[in-house]
Amino acid sequence: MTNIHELTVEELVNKIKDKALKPSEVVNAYYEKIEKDEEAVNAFITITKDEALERAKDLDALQAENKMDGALFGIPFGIKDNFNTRDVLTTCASQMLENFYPVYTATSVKNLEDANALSLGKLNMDEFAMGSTTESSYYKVTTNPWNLNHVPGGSSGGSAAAVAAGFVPFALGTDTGGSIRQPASYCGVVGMKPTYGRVSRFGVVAFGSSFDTIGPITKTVKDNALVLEQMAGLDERDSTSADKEANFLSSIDQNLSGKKIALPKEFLDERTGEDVKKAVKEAVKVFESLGATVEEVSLPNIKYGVSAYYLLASSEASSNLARFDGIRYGYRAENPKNLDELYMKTRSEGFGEEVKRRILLGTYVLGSGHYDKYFVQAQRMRRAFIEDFKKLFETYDLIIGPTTTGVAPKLKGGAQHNEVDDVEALLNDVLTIPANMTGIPAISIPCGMSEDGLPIGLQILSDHYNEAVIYNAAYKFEERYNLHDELNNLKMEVK
Amino acid sequence: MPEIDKDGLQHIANLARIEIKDEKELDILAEKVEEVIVHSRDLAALDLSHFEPLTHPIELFDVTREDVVDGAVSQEDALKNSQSIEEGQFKVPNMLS
Repeated sequence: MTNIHELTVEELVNKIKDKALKPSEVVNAYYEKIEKDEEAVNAFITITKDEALERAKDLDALQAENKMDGALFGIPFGIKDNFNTRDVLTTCASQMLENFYPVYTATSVKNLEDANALSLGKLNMDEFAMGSTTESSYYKVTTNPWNLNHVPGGSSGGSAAAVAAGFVPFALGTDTGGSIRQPASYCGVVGMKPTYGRVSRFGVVAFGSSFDTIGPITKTVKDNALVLEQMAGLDERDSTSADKEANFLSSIDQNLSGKKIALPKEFLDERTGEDVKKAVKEAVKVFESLGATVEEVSLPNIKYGVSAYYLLASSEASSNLARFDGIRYGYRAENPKNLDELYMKTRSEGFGEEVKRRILLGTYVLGSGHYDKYFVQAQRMRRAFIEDFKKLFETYDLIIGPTTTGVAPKLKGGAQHNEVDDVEALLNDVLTIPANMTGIPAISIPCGMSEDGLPIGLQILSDHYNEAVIYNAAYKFEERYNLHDELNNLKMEVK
Repeated sequence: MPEIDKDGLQHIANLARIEIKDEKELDILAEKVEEVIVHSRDLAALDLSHFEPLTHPIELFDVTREDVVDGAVSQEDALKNSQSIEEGQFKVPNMLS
C-alpha cells in the first residue's frame, strides 16, 4: 500500500471523499513524516501541530456527517513564513519579526481554509524573500531533499523542500523575481507563478509590490492547477487583484497539436549549463512529438532584465520595509536615547545583511541624481520587456526555456546565517525575472536530471491570464516525463 | 572611480535609518551596492527615450466600495504586537534628547 504522504492532492481529495481516509489520519501521517525527516531538511520555522490536529478532528466529524464542502476538504498544506496567519507566528525568516503574531490572515490562505484545507505550519525562506538559497534566513538553513549538501533554492526554499520531502502535499510560495519557480526547479517539484493580480496579495508581507505574486508548489501539475483555482480571485482588499475566472482543470488534458511554442535563444546562452541545455532540447522534442511546433526566437533585451529588476524591486523594497521601525510591531532595540536612535538601532539589529544591502541600493536609486539615470531607465526597460513579450504572443501560444541556468548549488559551508548573494548569484535569476518584469504567468516543472543527480526545471510562460494554456502544456509534458517515483523514493541523505 | 564612496553610502544609510556599525560593514555594503550599480551601467547607457516608463505590469483601475465598516482591527489587536504601550497607545522615546 502506498504511504499517505506519497499521495497527490488529487488522490487525497478522492480518498477523503470516499471515506477511505479520515482528515486526521492524513494529518497524522504527514506529521510522522515531518518527525522522521525534518531534522535533516529543516523546512519549517513553526509547526502548528496542535491547531492542525484540532481542525482535523472537526473535519473528521463533518466527514462522518457527509458534510464535505470545499474542493480541498481535509488536505494539509504548508505556508511560506511571509503570509500573515492570524495568531500564528509570522517571521519572514527575520529577527525583525521574531515575535510577530498577525491580527489577520492573508486572503490566499483564507481562500484555501474556506475550501477546508488546513495548515501544518510555516516554512523557511530567505529573509523577507530576498535571496535565492534560503541561506539568508535568520533561523535555520534548509537543505535540498535530493542531496542534503545542496541548497533548496529560494526564496521559497522551505516550501519547495517541504513538498519534495513529503512533509506536505502542497505549499504556498511567493515569487518576486523567481522565488517559486527556482526552488521548485532545484527540488524537482512543480511551482507556478501566476499572472500578477491573479491571486490577492492582501496579507502577504510586501517586498516589491509591483512584482510580488503568490502561487502553489506541488508534486504534480494537476495538483497545482487544483490549488491555484482555489486561491485565485478578486479581493476587495487588494485593488490590483483581478476579476477573472480561474478554471484551469477543464482544459488540462487537451491535445497540443497546432500549438506554437517559442524558444528564446538567449535562454540557452553561455551562462546556461550544458546539462540544462540538453534537458531543454529534449523537452523541445517532447513538445514536437505532442504535435506542437517549436521555433527559436530572440529576445535581445533579456540581458538587461537583471539590472532593471534589481533597481526597481530594491527601490520598492526600500519603501515597503520602511514600516519596520520598532514601534508598532516587530523587533525593538533596547534603551534608545531618542526616537531616531530607536529607528536606527532597531533596523540595524533587526535586518540581516542582504536586506540592508537591498534597502540601501533602493534608497540610492531613488535618490536625487540617480532617479532618472537608474530608476526611470529601469522602468523604461520594463516597458520594452512588455512590448517584446506581447509581440511574441501575437504569434506564439507559449514560451519555453530552462527555469535556471544550473542545478542547485552546494550550501555555503553549512549553517552560515545571513549569506549575502553576490552579483553572480543575482545574474542567475536572468531566466525567471522576465515573467516578473511583465507580470505574465510562468510555471516550472521537472524536465531532467543533472549528471550528479539533481533535478532540472523547464519553464513554460504564456500571456497574461493564460494559466490554463500553461497547465495544459505542462500536464501533457508531465505524462511523458516526471519525477513522481523519484520524489517518493528520496532518502534525505548526503550524496 | 567608484560611483558610491563611503561618505555617499553613509548618507544613504542615514536616509534609510540604518546604522552602520563599523568601518568593515561600511566597506562591505558599499562594495555590494556598487556591484549592482556597476552592472547597471550598460542599462543606464541605452537610449530608451521612446519607451514610456512602466510603473505596473497590468492595467490598473480605480476601485471603490461602499463606505461600510468591515473587518476593522480592534485596539487590543492593534497594540498587542508592540513592545511598548501605555494607556492604550504606542509609547515612543523622546523625539529630542
